[in-house]
Amino acid sequence: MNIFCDECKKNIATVFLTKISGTEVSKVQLCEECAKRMEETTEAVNLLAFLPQVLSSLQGVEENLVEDILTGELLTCGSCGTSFNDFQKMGLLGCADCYREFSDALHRVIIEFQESDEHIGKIPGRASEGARLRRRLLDLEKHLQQKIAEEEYEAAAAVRDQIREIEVRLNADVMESDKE
Amino acid sequence: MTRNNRAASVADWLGTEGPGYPLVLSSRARLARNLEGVHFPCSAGEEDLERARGMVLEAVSKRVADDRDWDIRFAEELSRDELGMMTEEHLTSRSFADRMGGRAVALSWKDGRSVTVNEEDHVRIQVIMPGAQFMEAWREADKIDSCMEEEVQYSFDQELGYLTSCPSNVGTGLRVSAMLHLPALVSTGEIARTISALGQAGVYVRGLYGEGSGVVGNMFQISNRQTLGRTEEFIVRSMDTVVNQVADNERTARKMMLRESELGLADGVYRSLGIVERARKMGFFEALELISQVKLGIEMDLIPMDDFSILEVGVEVGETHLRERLGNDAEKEDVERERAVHLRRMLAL
Ligand SMILES: [Zn+2]
Ligand SMILES: [Zn+2]
Repeated sequence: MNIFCDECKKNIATVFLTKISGTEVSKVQLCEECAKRMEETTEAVNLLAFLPQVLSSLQGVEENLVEDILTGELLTCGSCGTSFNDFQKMGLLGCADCYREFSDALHRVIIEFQESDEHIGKIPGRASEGARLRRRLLDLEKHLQQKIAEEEYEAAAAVRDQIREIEVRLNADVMESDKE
Repeated sequence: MTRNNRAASVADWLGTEGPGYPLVLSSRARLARNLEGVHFPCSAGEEDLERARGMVLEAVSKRVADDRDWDIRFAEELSRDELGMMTEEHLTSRSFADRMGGRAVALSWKDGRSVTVNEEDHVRIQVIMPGAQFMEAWREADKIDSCMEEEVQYSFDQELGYLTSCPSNVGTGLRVSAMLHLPALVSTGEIARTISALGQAGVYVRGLYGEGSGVVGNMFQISNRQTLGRTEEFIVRSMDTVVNQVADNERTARKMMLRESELGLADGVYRSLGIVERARKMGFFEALELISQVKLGIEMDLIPMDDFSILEVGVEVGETHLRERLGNDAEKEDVERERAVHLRRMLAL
């Protein structure tokens, strides 16, 4: 029987856990140290389990990008200095700008893990008017599809007008911020 | 308020019964937030951490902590024991006990509300309630969040929502979890099927404590996996549905055990009771297993004993809580002896 820690393969395992990844139920044995680290970063670890498969699925799509990611050299956040390589190791980003700096690779990770790339939940009160409008737009678009499906064309036309109005205001916002 | 004032009793919510008792032990809602313009804690320098702490704690004291007794603690000022006790009481996560600079927690002991500063994210708002009260717990956390937001500007992206240091929390930053006691699902082996169904429903399952051939004490924590692309209400309501389903499965498994072998079941729980009554020393994980079995016996009217709170007793037999009773120079063996004695005391045996 193997008495060593599954993680570091060095220390003797004293903590035994049932690990669930996807639909697979498996047993893992860890040393105190590794177990503690797992506990700390449970959420990060859950995400990290996804990373290799997501990154390998990038292969052939954008070869340069994959190479960058694999060498971890070129992808570094200009604001905080965190590299994509760091993220791959820790599962943690360094700052809000990392989301933008790593957006190509991160987008796939997020889609894979979250099965979505669009926030539809709470919006902070002070967030820009734009966020509120975008959310409203999203609701209206769903509403529009529904009305069309129900063959309520008059109602659909009214919704479409509302959508246009919001789009105009959003475009104005963009121009405004471009000027700054 | 010093730690000693409340040493006699653990966090109040632990001993309380809620909806779904005795299968659903507790509900937890947690919101992850970060401050705009400050690096996430893992890459922030000491100065940034201090600044973030100042901003968050000011928001807490101004907007949140005015109603009931909130307690603010800096991690570096707490002793190892105090940190350990807080971890055992599920008030803070284990990583909080690392005492890294700039960490702090503001908590309201009475009702299980807390705001942790500079763990994985600048702000972690947490509300724990007894039983299945996911909507209530989330509303309470949301209220704290909205109050804090009047003082601080959170890092928020129009497409991705609240930005968190781990992308697994991005969007709503909301993680809802339930703690469940599922001894019959484990002993009938049905748990594997339940877990795989939950996995497909986008729900995480993990043991609250781990050991031996699986999860220890038959206590499971389940939480939502996705935090993005769903509204908070949807996440909360889904968790409620899932938890009810799991609790139903456990009830069915209990009936099945009773039908198939009442004698076998009774034998099992009484053997556990026998060990609790006679043991001279006991390990933590062993204690959790025994507590689970005795509790099952009580709930199924097989053992005529007063009911007890499995979470509260579980916390009481934890390493740090026992050490506090014994004093700091206690040896491992002293702790194990005290665990056996204290468990009998807790169960009035
Ligand atoms: Zn290890
Ligand atoms: Zn960055």
